[in-house]
Amino acid sequence: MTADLLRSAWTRLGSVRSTWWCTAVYVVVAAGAGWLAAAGTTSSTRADVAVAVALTGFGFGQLVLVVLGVLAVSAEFGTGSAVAALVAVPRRTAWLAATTAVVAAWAALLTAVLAVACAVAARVLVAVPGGVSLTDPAVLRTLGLQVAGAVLVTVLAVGLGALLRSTAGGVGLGMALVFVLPPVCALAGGRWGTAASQALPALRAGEDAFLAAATPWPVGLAVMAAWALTAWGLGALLLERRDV
Amino acid sequence: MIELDGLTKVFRDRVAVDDLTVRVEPGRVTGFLGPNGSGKTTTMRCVLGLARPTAGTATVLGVPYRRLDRPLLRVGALVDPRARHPGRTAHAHLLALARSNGLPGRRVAEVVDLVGLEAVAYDRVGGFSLGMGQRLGIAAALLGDPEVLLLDEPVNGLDPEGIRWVRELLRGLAAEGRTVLVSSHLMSEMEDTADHLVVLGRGRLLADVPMAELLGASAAVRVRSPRAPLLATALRTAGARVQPEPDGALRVEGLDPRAVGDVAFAAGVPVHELTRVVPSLEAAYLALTGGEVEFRAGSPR
Ligand SMILES: Nc1ncnc2c1ncn2[C@@H]1O[C@H](COP(=O)(O)OP(=O)(O)OP(=O)(O)O)[C@@H](O)[C@H]1O
Ligand SMILES: [Mg+2]
Repeated sequence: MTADLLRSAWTRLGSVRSTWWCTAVYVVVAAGAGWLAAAGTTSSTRADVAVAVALTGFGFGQLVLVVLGVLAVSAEFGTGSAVAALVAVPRRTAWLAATTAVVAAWAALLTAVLAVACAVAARVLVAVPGGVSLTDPAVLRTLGLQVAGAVLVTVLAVGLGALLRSTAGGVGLGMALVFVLPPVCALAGGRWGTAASQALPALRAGEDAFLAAATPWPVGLAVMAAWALTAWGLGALLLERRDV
Repeated sequence: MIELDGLTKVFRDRVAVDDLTVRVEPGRVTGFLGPNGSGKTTTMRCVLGLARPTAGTATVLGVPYRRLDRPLLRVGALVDPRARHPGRTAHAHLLALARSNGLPGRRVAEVVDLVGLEAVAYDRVGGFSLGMGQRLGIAAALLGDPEVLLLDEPVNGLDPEGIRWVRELLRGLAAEGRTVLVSSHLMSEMEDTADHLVVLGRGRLLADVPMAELLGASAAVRVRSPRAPLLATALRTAGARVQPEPDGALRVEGLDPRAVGDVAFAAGVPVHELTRVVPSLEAAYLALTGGEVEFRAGSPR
């Protein structure tokens, strides 16, 4: 049953153009910005810092993941296709889980490949004492956090898609949560502004957050996961209860 | 078999389906009739687990639909002709549905051939005509070779060849012992397809009868005689309701043709025409639902 649902979700996602558009834009933004950032940095003292610079493009790239994740659900509801899908799979949480697994796996794969490419760019283009080794634990952690962040943003977006069922609403709210509000709160400053910025789901591929108040990475990861799981859980609950 | 027990669905302040108790039996085509907004689609959506009943229950094959494992293998449905992503090809749409229920990919090609869409299987469905879309919906319903079918206005938009094909398909499926529930506003088509009728009006059950019974209930006899007034009196004495028709014939209700003939013979009245008049389904349906129509068009000036 599970394998069937995953195969079906893959067919569903792979057969709409928006998935491939998102993929192309993600690759261009993440890889392009990464190479540019690496090329513009002549030297760095630490390997993981050099790699983090090369990963800058993911800050904007995550917006593409928001669109990809929201669309995985909202496109089905927006077009009415969800009726056919949920007649075939009336176990709605299982349907949502399979959809989520496939989009998140796709996001993870793309991010892993792109992040390694960006690390290679840092290795080639940035002068670091001792060089940039891809097996350096600090570098590996940075890359791993990037992949984890991408998966969690995607899960959050799928959850928002299931909650709101609308592409505009889901993408708008998703972008506000991960991209607009964290820097706004950080800029507002003060104890509360900083705390709010840290409590929002922002991209944190390390201690330095992208456009948000700096946060120890385990806390950042936990915050992101909490948002993703909450949104997904609420999305699944509403999907089970509401009429299609 | 589909069983509805006190099924009720309320949308805010509107009662779409009102305490509906019906059994849709296998082995025959059950026509599902009712004016616009009478609750047919809502009933089907409740049966398919798409809408949650406000009260009562709906079961298919003895269980609530949402508890079926691989439901496409048991139940096929066409509820909303727009239920597809316009950017997908017909093949991808069906393949995603087939895979979700563990059906092999070749089953997609089979149903595509069956509904006659092979030439456009790899076209995006956004460009499909109404009838092509309807065929795609029927293809999806037939994917799992199900023993129960729920089809909401399947012939809407089909060409005459397609309508006849659907009629023969449904009759064939029912003859194999499957349960077929089909809604339509095309009365002449329904008359040729259905064996049994379930009629709704404003969400309530108006009739759950065999087709022959509904038509027979308002059947009449037309009799023509040169001595019509004398015959009319004799027939009334025999307990019939008699009405003169504009052309001089008599319309007799409450007696069958044989009894009318016997009365005429006993009265010594010559008979020039004696016909059993079975109303069309359209006439019987309009008589039944006349008071239950919610949206009535005005007459053109
Ligand atoms: N999602 C919904 N929200 C609110 N009201 C609804 C909803 N779905 C149906 N209704 C209402 O329920 C009633 C029954 O609608 P339904 O679509 O079941 O009728 P129908 O018999 O299928 O009509 P038609 O012959 O026009 O297809 C209508 O008054 C309709 O407005
Ligand atoms: Mg309807």
